[in-house]
Amino acid sequence: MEVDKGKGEAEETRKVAEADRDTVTLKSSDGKLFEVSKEAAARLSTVLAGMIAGGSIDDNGTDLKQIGSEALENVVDYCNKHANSIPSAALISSSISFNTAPFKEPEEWERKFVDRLSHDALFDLVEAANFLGMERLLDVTCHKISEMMKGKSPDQIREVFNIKNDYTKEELEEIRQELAWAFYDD
Amino acid sequence: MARRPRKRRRRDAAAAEGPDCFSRLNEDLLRSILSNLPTRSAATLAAVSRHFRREIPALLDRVDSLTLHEPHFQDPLRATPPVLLRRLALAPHRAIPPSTFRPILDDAALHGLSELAFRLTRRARLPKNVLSVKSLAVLDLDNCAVAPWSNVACPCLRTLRLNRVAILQELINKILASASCLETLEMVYCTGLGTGRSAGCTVESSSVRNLVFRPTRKLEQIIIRASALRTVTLYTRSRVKRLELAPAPKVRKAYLHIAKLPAKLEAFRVRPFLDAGVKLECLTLRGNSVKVLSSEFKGIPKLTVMFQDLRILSVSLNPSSIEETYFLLKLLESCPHLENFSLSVHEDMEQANNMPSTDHKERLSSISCLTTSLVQFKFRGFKPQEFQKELMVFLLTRGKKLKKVGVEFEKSQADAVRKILSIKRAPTERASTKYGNHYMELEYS
Repeated sequence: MEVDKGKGEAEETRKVAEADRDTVTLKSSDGKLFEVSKEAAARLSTVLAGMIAGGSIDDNGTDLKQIGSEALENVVDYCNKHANSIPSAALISSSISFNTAPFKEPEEWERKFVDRLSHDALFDLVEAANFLGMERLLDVTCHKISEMMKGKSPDQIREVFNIKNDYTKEELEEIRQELAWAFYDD
Repeated sequence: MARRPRKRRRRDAAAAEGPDCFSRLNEDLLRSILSNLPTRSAATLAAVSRHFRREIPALLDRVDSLTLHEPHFQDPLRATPPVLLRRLALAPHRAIPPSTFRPILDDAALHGLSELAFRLTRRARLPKNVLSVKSLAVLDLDNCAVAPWSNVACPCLRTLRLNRVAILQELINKILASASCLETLEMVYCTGLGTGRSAGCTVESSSVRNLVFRPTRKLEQIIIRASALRTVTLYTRSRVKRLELAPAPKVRKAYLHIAKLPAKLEAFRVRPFLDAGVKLECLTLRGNSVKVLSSEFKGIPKLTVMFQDLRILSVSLNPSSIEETYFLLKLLESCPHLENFSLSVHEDMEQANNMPSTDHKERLSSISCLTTSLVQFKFRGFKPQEFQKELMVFLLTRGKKLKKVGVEFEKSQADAVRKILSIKRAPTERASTKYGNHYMELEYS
């Protein structure tokens, strides 16, 4: 493994030298191009790291067909802000498991970053982060969504997230009775 | 194949009403969002939309069962991520006061506890919140006392079993009022139901389907008004002065054991229950039940009700009482499809054994079930006297479908029994001491 890794790194440096670039170009599903620091991309996204190491990065824009331009813009924005604010390697999630990994509270800038997003943008970002294997971004965005749900009644949640109530009155009453213990106090 | 169109329709509907941001997320992402929510918040999400109800319950962690002997969790129930606890059994040691389990119950209530069993070694008072865990569906209390000041709020309760529990009638009423869908109620040897002279218990519910009621010796009055009953097991004890069993038209299975009769026989009312029990499939009358019913049906030549579904009938009676014998004949006339009949005979010494030879034979031949549908017949305490002998001979000679006959008798009657049974020879004959006495079993093919 050690040897392999060394080889990969060697290849990477060779490629960097060849291209003489420290950024990668990403292409959204609707064809827009974004540049992001190679170091940040590799550190924050396991998928991009793999692509960089594997040499499948296209200088003319690596196709990310699953991600729209708005979401990709946010991803790039996040990577750049991360690169500016955090000393490198300080915040790399160690575990993928959601249930066991202790979640570190979002930093002030991360909070601000997700707070300014619209709902659609937030959910798009969750999917993009999931697709790119960006653990920390995923944690921060999911945390933001659960913060928005916490302490809210089903009615309020429907309103906040614009979810249609597809229950009949009777069904809703039945569920409320079943879950009477959980509705206590409200 | 059948599922595909349904799925498409659902998506179309969602698209028509604007996208729902959650329905795009996969299971892992949903779980990771849930992991920051407390259990109750996560549980209420099922009320948001059908999509949530389908997806979310499967994503919550569950603890199936916990048993505690001391008032602390070994592995405390965490606040987040959500975790549901199904069953909690509490069985503290004698030296630990049960009230110390109050915080445990509060905590379990936050995690959707649905079954609770509390068992003490002596009848000490339970914590006052034992009846106010709102999510409870099943509550088992064994050998304990329910504090009179307990809060009662158990809207989801379906099964309540009280075994040797001291509990006030007032609390029983509160529970029955709060648990509007209570289906099964068992009250076995409960005390404290009434105070002073009027120690009585009333069970009034329109939801209870299954009832087991076994009082202690002190209880003087039993009133059961439960119109939705499907099965009922009811015992009385020697001091009971008043008994009322209200009609339950849907009852399928009834077991009635009346121990001792009061001075005023009118204070026992069971007849309306029997009159309404048109759906009965299995009826057992033990102790003095037949005596009570025979006096209630006295002077009525025929039961008004026809038990079309009754297949199993088990009756204890005193054969030297004309009234009781008549009642049995009336009852048999009302069971046109009876398949399994057992008769247990106990002699009442007070009554003279001079039963007049009556028109039994005629009566018997008018009872259709004995000849056409009866498959199995069991006779306990058989003595070859008038009626018993006649009944036995009738069944052996006229029963068209009879497959199995069992007779239990005293040793001294062995010859007589053999003689009677020899009327119809059976391929299989077994003799044993199954019921502590001599027992013979015949099987016809």
